[in-house]
Amino acid sequence: MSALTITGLSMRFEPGRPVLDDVALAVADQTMLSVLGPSGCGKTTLLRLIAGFLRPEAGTIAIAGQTVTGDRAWVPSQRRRVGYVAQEGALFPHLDVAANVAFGLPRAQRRARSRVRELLALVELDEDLMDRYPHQLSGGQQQRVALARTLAPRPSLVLLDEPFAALDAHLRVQTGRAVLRALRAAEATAILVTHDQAEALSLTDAVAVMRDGRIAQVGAPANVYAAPGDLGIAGFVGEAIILPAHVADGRAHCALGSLTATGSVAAGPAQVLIRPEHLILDAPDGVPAHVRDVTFYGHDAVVDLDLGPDDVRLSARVVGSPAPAPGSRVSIGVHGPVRTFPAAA
Amino acid sequence: MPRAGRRLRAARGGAGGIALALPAVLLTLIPLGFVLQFTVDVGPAELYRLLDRPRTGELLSNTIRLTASAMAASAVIGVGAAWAVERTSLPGRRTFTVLLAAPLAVPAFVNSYGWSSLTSSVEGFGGALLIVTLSYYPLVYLPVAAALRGLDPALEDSARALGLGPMATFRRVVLPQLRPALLGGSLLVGLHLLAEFGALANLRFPTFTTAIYDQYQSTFNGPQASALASVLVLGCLVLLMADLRLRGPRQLARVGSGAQRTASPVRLGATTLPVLAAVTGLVVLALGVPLGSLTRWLIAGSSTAFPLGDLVSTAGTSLLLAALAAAVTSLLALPVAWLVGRRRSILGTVLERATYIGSALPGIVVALALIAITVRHARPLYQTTTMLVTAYVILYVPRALISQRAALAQAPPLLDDVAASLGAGPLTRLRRVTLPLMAPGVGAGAALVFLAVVTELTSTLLLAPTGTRTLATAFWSQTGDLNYGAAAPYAALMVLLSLPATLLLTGVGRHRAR
Repeated sequence: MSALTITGLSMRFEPGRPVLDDVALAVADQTMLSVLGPSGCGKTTLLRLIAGFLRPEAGTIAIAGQTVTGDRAWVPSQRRRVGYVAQEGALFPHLDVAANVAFGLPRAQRRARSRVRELLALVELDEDLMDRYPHQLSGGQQQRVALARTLAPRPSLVLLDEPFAALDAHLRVQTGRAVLRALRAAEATAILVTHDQAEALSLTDAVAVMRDGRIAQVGAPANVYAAPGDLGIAGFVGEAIILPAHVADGRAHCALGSLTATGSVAAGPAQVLIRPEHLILDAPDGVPAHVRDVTFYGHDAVVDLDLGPDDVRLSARVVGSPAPAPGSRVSIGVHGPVRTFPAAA
Repeated sequence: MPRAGRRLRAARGGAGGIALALPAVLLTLIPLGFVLQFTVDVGPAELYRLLDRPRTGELLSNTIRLTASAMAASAVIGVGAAWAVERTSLPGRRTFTVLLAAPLAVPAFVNSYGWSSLTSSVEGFGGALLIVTLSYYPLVYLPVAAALRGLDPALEDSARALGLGPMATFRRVVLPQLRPALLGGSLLVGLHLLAEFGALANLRFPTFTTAIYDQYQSTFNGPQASALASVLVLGCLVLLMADLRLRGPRQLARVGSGAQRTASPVRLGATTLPVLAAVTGLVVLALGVPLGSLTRWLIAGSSTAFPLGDLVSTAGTSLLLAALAAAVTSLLALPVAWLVGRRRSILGTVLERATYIGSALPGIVVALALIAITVRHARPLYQTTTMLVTAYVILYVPRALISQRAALAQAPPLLDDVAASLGAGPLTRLRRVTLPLMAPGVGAGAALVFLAVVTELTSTLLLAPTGTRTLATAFWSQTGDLNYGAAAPYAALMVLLSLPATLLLTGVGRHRAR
């Protein structure tokens, strides 16, 4: 059964500029979906509409089969059983950790510490923290407490609004993993809103890419990365090399030679998408190129290349093998088939 | 099926909020409305006839001279004291931080009594200037000290690195940044001086405020008093407009903080003693003299008569009135604070500003307006406790409002949303989230109103029902009869009651700077 079904959802704050435009989305029970988009694409508005903090102009939202937002239907936030984790955690500053976690529980259960203990264990926090106040916690701890508080009343849907954006890089990965483990352990259905493509691809079962108030593509992370719906999405979910090409007989002819092609264009002018990690710098019969610059990251390196007589510039990501020295010459090949898209107008 | 509400959350309760905010705003507009009505009614010719006499010229000269001089003197003393305490190696800086703000706990009319009961030489312009400056310089000192604490020392370091000496750095880098706090504080001193009655009456230095009071007391001469009041209101409005112009940029400038180094203090070296002597001298004059004099009269008076019964009953009246006024003011201010803090509309800002206008007018104008209106339109309310409390509300609504707005910032709407998603309905959210978070700020605002009412003199003298005596009016009638010893216990109680508010103010200043 679908935990969340959205149809025809539209919203605008000022005339003529829709924030959400006819959005449709379905999330299956006990799965986790990322909504990925640049800031201002309407993803936070979508979340606030699902939570019932806002009313849309048109469209319906059904949670676990019950219509909560619609032409004739309106269920206020407090009766939707939708958990909400905000970017800053938004813990109640006047309550300690135990009281924050127990906030959404029925009055009779608030005093019992066993449920709080259980929830803190779920989010992998030490129960010694129970008597602390929010200002005595680190950013990562605050987010975990916020999640424990959200999970306490056993919501049918958990919404996470960029919950890791305020954390520093190291903490972001660690907290993200812990939060996702806790959500799976609680058998929750969750929607994670983020502008960080690495977060979206690595943490959740599915990714919905949002652009200009519309859902541009939904799919499993690997599919969206390998087969993006258009070049805009391709560039948003990862680094992309885009070259003009001519397709004929299942092969694309471009600056990197004749490559095996898949995708929407079967013949004629096209553009091809190549991911930097698919470039090989020591191909036996590759295209000669000149190494302009090398940026070393430790686990991998990015090599900037000038290609052929037209000085086409592109970047390759090399892992494992030592990167070539700037100024040296390399021979470029492409690993696997490339994806074709219609030629630029 | 639940009934569909309005489309946008922002529209929720908008009209209701404005309706709830209106009482406070309408009340505070009464004094201004009264003065406007009066000037329109009598017309320019009659107004000119009422004002065109030598006495008016003398009052105008006195008022302007005193206000301007005291503003300048307070600015110099306030900045000097703040700099010495915040930015130098002065010994005992922590103690001085509190001591320099403490004169606010001594009402100006108690300060003047302290001086004039020692020597009659403080009567007249020089004495009046000395005493009002000593009473009101903390209004400059507190915001300037807070601003100094908030300044980024990196700017001064950069100036020094660019080759400026300490004095040039202060003049070209520090002073310009202190300008909003300095001007804001000075304008506040000006508003207080235009309203000052007790101290100036005591020192026999006539200004508009004391003249209005005399006119009213001696002849009940409505038009004459009202004409003087309209000139006074004009002066207040000029200062208020200047203050409002300053407020906007100052608030913007405070936005944005981060981890900041604290400035390393300027080493005074050989100038330590003179600076220490100056600051100590200031504390002795502003605090030592009035408190010493008060103690002297307390000892002298208690040997003859100590009216314990009367002291208890007047203190009871004062506390009761203050509690009532604090409760009513807080209640009326809450919707305004809510409207301004949560709705962010132009209307809300206009309503908030309106409450500031009302309270910037002197207590004497507020009292005259309320008397005129009740005598004409609501006779049964004339000289009732209701009327007196109304005056307090008009005078002190901003004190409650400022604290409540700060408190509301502690309860952002996001927490409301989160509580809703956790199953809490609107009333539950108010009870479990918003009110607990706002409580300290609302309480602090109520305390400030409470303590202001305890030392309020002018409108209490005019509006208190017959037989109602507060600490301030009892003290005033005793000093009027030159019973300095008998007056002392009332003054001592007022000072004791005012101390907590003063400490609260220094605490607020420090918190804001952090």
